[in-house]
Amino acid sequence: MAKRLSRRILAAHLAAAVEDGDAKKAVKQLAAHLIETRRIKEADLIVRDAEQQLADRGVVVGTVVSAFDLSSAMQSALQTMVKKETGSRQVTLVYRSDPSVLGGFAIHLPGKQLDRTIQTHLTTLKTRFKKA
Amino acid sequence: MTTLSITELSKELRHAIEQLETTGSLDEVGIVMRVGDGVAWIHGLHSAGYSEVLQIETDDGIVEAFALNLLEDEIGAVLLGRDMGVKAGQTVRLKGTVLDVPVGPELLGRVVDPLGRPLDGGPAIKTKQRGIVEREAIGVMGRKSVHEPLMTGIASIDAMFPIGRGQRELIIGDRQTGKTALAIDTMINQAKQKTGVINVYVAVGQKLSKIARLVERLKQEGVMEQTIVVATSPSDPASLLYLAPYSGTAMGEYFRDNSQHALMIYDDLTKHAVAYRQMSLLLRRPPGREAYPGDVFYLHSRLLERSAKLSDDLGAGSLTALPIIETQAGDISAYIPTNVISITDGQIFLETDLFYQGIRPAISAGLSVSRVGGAAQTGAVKAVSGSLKLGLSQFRELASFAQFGSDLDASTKQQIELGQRLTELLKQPQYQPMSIWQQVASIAAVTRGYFDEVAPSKVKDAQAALLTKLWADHKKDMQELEKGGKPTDELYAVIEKTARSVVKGFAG
Ligand SMILES: Nc1ncnc2c1ncn2[C@@H]1O[C@H](COP(=O)(O)OP(=O)(O)OP(=O)(O)O)[C@@H](O)[C@H]1O
Ligand SMILES: [Mg+2]
Repeated sequence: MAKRLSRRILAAHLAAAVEDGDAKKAVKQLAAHLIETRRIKEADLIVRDAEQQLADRGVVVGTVVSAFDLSSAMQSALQTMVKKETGSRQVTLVYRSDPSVLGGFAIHLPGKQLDRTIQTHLTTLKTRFKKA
Repeated sequence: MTTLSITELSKELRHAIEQLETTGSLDEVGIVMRVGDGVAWIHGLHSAGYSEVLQIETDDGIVEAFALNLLEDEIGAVLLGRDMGVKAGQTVRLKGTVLDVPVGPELLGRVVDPLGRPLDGGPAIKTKQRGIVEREAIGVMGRKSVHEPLMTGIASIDAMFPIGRGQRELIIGDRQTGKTALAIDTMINQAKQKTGVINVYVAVGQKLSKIARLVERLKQEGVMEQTIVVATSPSDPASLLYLAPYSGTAMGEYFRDNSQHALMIYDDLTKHAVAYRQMSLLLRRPPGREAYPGDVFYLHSRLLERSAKLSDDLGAGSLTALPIIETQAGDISAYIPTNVISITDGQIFLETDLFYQGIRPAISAGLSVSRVGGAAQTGAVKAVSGSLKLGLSQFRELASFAQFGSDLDASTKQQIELGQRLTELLKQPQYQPMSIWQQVASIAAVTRGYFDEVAPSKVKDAQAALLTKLWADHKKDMQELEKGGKPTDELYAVIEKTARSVVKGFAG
């Protein structure tokens, strides 16, 4: 059997393919490889790693979660802010609304986060009052 | 959970909402991949450093962990508490600090856990300062050689194996040989002799009932006000047991760095090594000898290096350490004992045989040593105890010959009797540390021959009579002796006269 490929190498392969524009083929290859080597469980992590590597090369894909739909002015403000903060050349943000965050918004980027939801603040408060 | 008043909560909430508007910078985050046995494996957080604190966001609030295994694509972090509530997929953030604990005089008289949280039911501890748990030891230039005595109040130690401030002296022996008793008596003595030394007692995985009894005793003896107890029980997670000695040391270092003197007691480092082994195995580090990880030496060397006598520039404070190690069947060549012996400046070896013969404290004269304390020994005690160790070890040798019952010449007989008297003299009950004048007068009485007529079995009684009479008739002289200077000929004469006057009732 061939040498076990590390998660980092698989992720690098996937990231390179996405950058070159033939992601579809690479994803199929990767899926086959994971099934064959019984590593399906690692799929999520490999995608995360690939996202991280793409981000390192200046291509950021992220999600914005908010309780209510954000106005387009707000959306473009976030876009500009992420671009500035990460220093990347290409930023794609996917918007999703989720009432369970109660209010505010959170930006999830590969390995980074800006969490301004009320839900998270409540968790922090909960911890603080539990300690006291 | 505390019930909050509505006004308080609404104030907090309004504040939280205000904060939502001020956009901050991006935090680095990771996620929990899996968790079990007090260890969380984390994906992401590439900039995490060794021993850095991580915060895991659970449904029930934030749980803290510290990073111990930094691997290529994951981090092994040990949870500071129980792993209930931590699940795969939860978000993890960097706290941005390495582990620290509250330090300062506010901790005196308290019983705390290794994170500085009160365990004694007292109020929350608020200190002005915090100390880093894994702080680096002071360098060579910041140190000075050990030169002031740290009196234990135990005559055999102060006379034969004196300990100096800043020294690291190991207490080693099998289970139930009086190791903890030695440490407690030393703490009590700091209050009795009013040395001002602060005690920090670190209990590693000890039964809570035992710790409670200890604290009760320290209160009774009036030592608790100058003592901090850092306690962990066998049911605490291994991470807390592992941290306890380092946290306690951070608390002791506060006093060292403020020109004061502190005494660390680690009870015991065998259990500490076992906790570290458990953590290492769970972190899947390769096991070595006795299944300990390869860096178990470093575990204790970096801890004990923090004990030091500081230079005058740094305020001349000191941190003395009395680590305790438990051996199995007196085997001091096992892995952990040899490691710690090689790190410390000497050891007090306690023997089960002696303990059961009633020779307590059961200190082995042959196997114990203090490598640096000689320079720090109190002058008065040094003056009378020069021949003590030699006399005792010669006696042990001769005593084994004497067993054959052959005719012994007069001088051998005399030596054996002297040895027997010394052995009796150095027996000392628990919780009764001796002051300097008591030690000097007692030892002088035997080594200078004032007690030559006393039967060995009556030495203790003669000693008690001598000390009572000396204090009653010559209080001034004894107070002079207590100052620690070398006794004058007049003082010897006073002791001799009094000794000779009490021996009559105790002849053999
Ligand atoms: N000098 C002494 N005189 C009389 N009894 C003593 C003396 N020192 C210790 N003991 C008694 O011996 C017992 C064991 O002492 P201690 O708990 O200090 O031992 P240990 O070595 O710390 O034990 P463990 O291995 O359980 O920690 C206790 O009951 C204690 O009271
Ligand atoms: Mg003990």
